[in-house]
Amino acid sequence: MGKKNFLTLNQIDKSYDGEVILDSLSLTVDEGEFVTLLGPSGCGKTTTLRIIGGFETPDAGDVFFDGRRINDIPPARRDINTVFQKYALFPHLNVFDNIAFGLKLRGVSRAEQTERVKEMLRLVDLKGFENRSVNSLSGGQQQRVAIARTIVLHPRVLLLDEPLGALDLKLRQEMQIELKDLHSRLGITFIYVTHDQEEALTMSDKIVVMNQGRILQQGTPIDIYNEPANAFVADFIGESNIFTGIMKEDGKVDFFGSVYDCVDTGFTKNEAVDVVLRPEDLVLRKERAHSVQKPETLLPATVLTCLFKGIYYEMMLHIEGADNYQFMAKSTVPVFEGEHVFVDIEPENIHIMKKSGIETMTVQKHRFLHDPNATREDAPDEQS
Amino acid sequence: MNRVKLTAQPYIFWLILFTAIPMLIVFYYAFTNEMGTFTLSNFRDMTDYSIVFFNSFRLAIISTAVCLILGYPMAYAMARLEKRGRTIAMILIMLPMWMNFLLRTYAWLTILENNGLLNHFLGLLHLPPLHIINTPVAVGIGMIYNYLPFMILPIYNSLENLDVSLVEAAEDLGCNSHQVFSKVILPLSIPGTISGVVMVFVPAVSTFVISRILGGGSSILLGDLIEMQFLGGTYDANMGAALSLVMMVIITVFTLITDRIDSSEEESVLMS
Amino acid sequence: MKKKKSVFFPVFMVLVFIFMYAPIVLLMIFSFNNSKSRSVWHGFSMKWYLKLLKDENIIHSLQVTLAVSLLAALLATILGTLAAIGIFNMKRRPRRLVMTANNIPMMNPDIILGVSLMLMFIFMAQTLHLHMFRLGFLTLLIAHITFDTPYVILSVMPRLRQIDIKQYEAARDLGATIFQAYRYVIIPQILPGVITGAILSFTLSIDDVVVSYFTSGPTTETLGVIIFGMTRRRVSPEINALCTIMFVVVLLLLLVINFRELKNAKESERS
Repeated sequence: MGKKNFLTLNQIDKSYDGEVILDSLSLTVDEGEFVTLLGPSGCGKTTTLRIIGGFETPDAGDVFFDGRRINDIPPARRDINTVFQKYALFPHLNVFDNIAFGLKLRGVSRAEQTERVKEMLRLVDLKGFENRSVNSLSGGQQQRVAIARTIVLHPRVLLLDEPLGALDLKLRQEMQIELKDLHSRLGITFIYVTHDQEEALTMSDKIVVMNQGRILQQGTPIDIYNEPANAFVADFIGESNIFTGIMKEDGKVDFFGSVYDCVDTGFTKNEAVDVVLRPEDLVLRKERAHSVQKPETLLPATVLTCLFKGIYYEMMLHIEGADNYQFMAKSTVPVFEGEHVFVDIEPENIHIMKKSGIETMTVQKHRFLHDPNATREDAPDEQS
Repeated sequence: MNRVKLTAQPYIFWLILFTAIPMLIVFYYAFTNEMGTFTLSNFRDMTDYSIVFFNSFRLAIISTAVCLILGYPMAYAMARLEKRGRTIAMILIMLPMWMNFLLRTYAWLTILENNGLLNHFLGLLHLPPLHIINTPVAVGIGMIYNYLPFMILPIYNSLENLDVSLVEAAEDLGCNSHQVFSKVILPLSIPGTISGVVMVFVPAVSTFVISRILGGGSSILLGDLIEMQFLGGTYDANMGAALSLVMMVIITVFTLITDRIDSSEEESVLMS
Repeated sequence: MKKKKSVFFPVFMVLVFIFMYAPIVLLMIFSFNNSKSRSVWHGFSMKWYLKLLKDENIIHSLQVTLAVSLLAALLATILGTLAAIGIFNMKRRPRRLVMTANNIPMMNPDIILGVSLMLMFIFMAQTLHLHMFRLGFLTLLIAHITFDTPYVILSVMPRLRQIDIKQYEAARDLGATIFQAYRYVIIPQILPGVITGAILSFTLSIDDVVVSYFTSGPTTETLGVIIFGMTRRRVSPEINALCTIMFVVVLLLLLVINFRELKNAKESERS
């Protein structure tokens, strides 16, 4: 890994027509890192990327790149290049001319152009495609041309704006691996924007979870997944059951009328907290015996639905005494619909968090959980 | 990116100088007399010409109606052709439009004049000659001939874009071919028909070239009247400007009304 | 649309085409007539064509027409293309305002356009003593540019709309200046619209009679104005010959254009 704090955003504000898009956002990226900005549509991740790329000027705050303030430097003069959503290839130029576009503008000799384009085509596995029209390429091939077109200029940072959004699932998974591989071969900094948490978890060195123009948490994929900082992050990184509990004392949390053992400490007595349970962490027992928690604390529940999802079953549970709340559970062992079970949870799998300020999301989350038919809205285009 | 919008500046300047200001000058002339003082007499005196207004409207409406009667079935017939036939028909419709419209009008002069081709032909059949030239009928024929493509093309466009599945759906739901036409095809082609009507009516009500060549001064139309105020014997720029203003108003009102019909028709299609 | 066998429509179509083409064909036939008559055939002759070539009035007006049409098409294409790019980059409200203003010269009948411009030119020349605006070639050119430009804008706009705006940003990102981004990325893609606009402008200018009639001076009358004058005074079969030549030229032009397009289409299919 190269220089620390290679790229720094310092308290960036940005708003359009009075609507706040970025709210005092600060971020540092080290040289050679693969950083992913992750968040739902409209969270400001694309705007952040466009500020780094130079397509937007922040209202307030500074952008530093390799020790220099670059707020007012146009995109053309930053050693930063962008792979755009839907690639923005030039349809009137063939593959060669697309890749050579930046080289021509820099006055690189024809011979060197040919050599560098050839090298790029080899790198992205498109040997012999020089004279093809970009319109005749498949989505994945266009993607590679878009990447080749930028890295042929040897940028020090590559920005990728949902580059896999237009591809189908299988191709997306292949490209994830290829991009990761490309990153380690080139050794340059990648800043990647996506709303797809799986993509973020697979590829990143560091994930930056954003919502409503702010950074909620940054860290390695493992940290983010295992130790989400708040209910929103927990929800966004994988599915979760999120509800309000009362912290009785250190290591004791009360929800739905039962007091569970947990491992979290440092809350005031009787503080209202967000309790987050991963569906795969719920253990369903047929009877109260042999439980991890004290048998009397186990939540009695009725199985509403049990759907086969391939490698696991996904169940919706009605918790007795909790009228409007359903749990989602995942298990490799099926249960019958209408069956009575008891919910058991290992203390370290009960995640207790300070009440987050983002109530709206929590509310939406509940609605999502209540209605098993509702799908999460992952709008791929983010206009901001 | 924002600086790029400045490239529109020269044209905005041009629009102000050569579209907006000339319009203002028309207004100025219309409301003044030759001494340059304000007056409404230009509009008051216009009542002398009410017969011209009447003739212009009558002729423009009749020509538009005939264009519609000929143009709709024509567009429909074209839309029924195979793709290749459609292309050829389109080219055949467009081709005469590439010929100067003056020459097209002139061609009719050679046919309709008293010792012209038509009467020559009638003579060969031992039929009595027809006196058409220098009558409103000749002017009407000239209008229909010149403006018929303006009627056909928009109707054809709306029929051509008609979704085949709509027709099939209507048949599936039990429409006979007559009902398919009246309930599906006709309502959906109304926007194209409206633009055809506008595109024929506007030039028809304002022409002076056709009436001059084929009407020979027998029937003076609104366009002739305006032309005469500027370049004819009776030079009166103020009256000419006033007449131009009235013509603009008439055409604007006509366009607005047809727009209204257009949008309400669309709604009724959606509801029925 | 659904097809049912019917005799009516084909017959009707043929009749309409006869209506449309008969006058033109008759006109062309009689341009070869060996007599002044435009209705009785007196044998084949090229004399009207020869006479046409010697008619200085017509040759001069033809030169004026070609000069003004070419110049107006060229200038309107530049003005209109720049305007389209500018308008495209405006915010919604000013964009709609300019587009509405742009519609005025198209919606207005020719006669209004001609009269209003003539009034202004006279006003400028007589009241303001700006002698350059005396009716002549310049005023004719200005009038033609005024009615050509809206059509250029209308043919360029849709092309601009088709381009992904990200392409401009991509070009800037790869090191292009604003000018280079337009020069190498945007302009090549709107070029078909620009060419369409230029051809449209040229044909509109060639075809115009009414606006030229009001805005040309005595020494700068276009072909249309001359013919209009002739049809009012004396009608000569020379005009038939002229029509025939113009029609054939246009036909050849169309064939060339269509042939090129066909070839282009085939080439792009192959690649």
